[in-house]
Amino acid sequence: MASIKTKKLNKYYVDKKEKTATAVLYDVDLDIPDGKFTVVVGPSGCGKTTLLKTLAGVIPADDGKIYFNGADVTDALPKDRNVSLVTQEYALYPHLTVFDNVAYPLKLEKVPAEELRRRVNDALGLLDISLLSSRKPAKLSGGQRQRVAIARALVKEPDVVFMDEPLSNLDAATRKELAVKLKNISATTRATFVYVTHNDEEARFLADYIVKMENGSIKLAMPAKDYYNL
Amino acid sequence: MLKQRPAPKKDFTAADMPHNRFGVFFDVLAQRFSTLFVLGLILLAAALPLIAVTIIRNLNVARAEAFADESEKALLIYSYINTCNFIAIFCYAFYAVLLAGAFGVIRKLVWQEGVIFKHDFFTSVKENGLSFALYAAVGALLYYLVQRSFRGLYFDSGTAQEIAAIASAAAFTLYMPTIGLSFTQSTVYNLGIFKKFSNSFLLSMRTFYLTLPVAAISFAPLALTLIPNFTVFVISLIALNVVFAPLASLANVLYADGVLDKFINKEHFPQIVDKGVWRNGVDKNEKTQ
Repeated sequence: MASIKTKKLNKYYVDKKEKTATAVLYDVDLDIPDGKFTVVVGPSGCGKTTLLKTLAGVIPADDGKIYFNGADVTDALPKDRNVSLVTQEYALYPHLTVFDNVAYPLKLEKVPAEELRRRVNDALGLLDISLLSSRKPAKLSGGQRQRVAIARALVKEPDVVFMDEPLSNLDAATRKELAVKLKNISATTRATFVYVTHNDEEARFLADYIVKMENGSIKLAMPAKDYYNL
Repeated sequence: MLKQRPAPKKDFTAADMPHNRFGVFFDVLAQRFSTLFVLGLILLAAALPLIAVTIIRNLNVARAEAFADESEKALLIYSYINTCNFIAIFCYAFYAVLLAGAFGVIRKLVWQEGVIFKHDFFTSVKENGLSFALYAAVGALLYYLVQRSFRGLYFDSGTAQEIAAIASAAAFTLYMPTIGLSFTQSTVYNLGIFKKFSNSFLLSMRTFYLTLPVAAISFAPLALTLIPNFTVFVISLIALNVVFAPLASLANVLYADGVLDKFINKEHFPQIVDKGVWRNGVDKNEKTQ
């Protein structure tokens, strides 16, 4: 698990034609506690996804610092930050089985075969998808595909799991089911979860810690129980 | 960009998994065709020494056909065939070592387990290669004796030669059905080579009416290699190894699993009975989705 801290984090999108720069993240000072389920909320276009991707290292920050457990990771690649990212598009390899999809990050790290098998089977069991091990994604429902994506995110035992509206493409019943599963998983794993959503009900159910954004800045950040008692 | 087909609305459940071993066969063929194809290519490479020996034999036999003297021609052909069939014993043993790897991977496919191809293949070669080689070598030796004794009747049709021919044919007929069972046992149990063979022999005797035809069907396509046309011969050998060998191995494992479940696993290893099969849409080893 890891605490996440940012100091004056800035990200601009530059319009070369108009020769202007728009601040998508503006002087973001954040302090996310370790091991907690932090939910980032805010209106569309306020910079939630950009914040997530910058913290994950998928896009570089233009200014400011990012710290994981006190260590400066601002210039570190995603693979060096020990993080996972789950998005709403699943991003599963269609030609690989569920087992191979989940095993993929471990194969990149050259994890020994028997340990790889054990960790993949554990991750599949955690998401109740052991049955699907030999199936390919085409046969799976949206909810099952997202479970596979989450299993793949968890299998590498990351310090932080970033989730960008992972349930938004799913029907209400499946969203509810998976939200409960995520809550249980966050209680049993040691990872810090940073979860972006625009769904208030989801945020209320999942969050230990709330970060509210507006126009690229942090409006407030506090424990969820205090936020919902305001 | 990873193109995804639209997701089905319904969850994939245990009811959608194969309900019997025929279902498992076609399910593995559909889901893991590329894995089977790679195994076929490996087996083709493993068969190259055997193919070379067969081609050399056929070329020598064709050259011997040019001899005018019939008895000299017959003796030469007999000698070439015996020599090549004897060398082929070692080629079959080599082939079987890599077949052990293929069976290791197929075991995982049949049990619907995740496959780590390189690891599973080479682990099975390491653990089972020697037993596979021995079983194959014995089978090839019996085949050599059958060929030698039946062709020898041309030169000596005496009683001793006739007895030798019948005995070798009987031994070959009794032995061949045990091979599939021996191979499959190697991927399941941790037993000695002779224990596995004695199990296989007893089981094949108890199920002879089925095991013999299964073995015959598994090896029957080898008859294609007797076609005199060289191009057809080469194409047959390639097709046999790349296409037929993995499928025959898969079918053999599934058939053998049924026999092992009935006579051994039901009593001693109930946890692996029907493993990989979801009878009635339920797997007793898994939570249903």
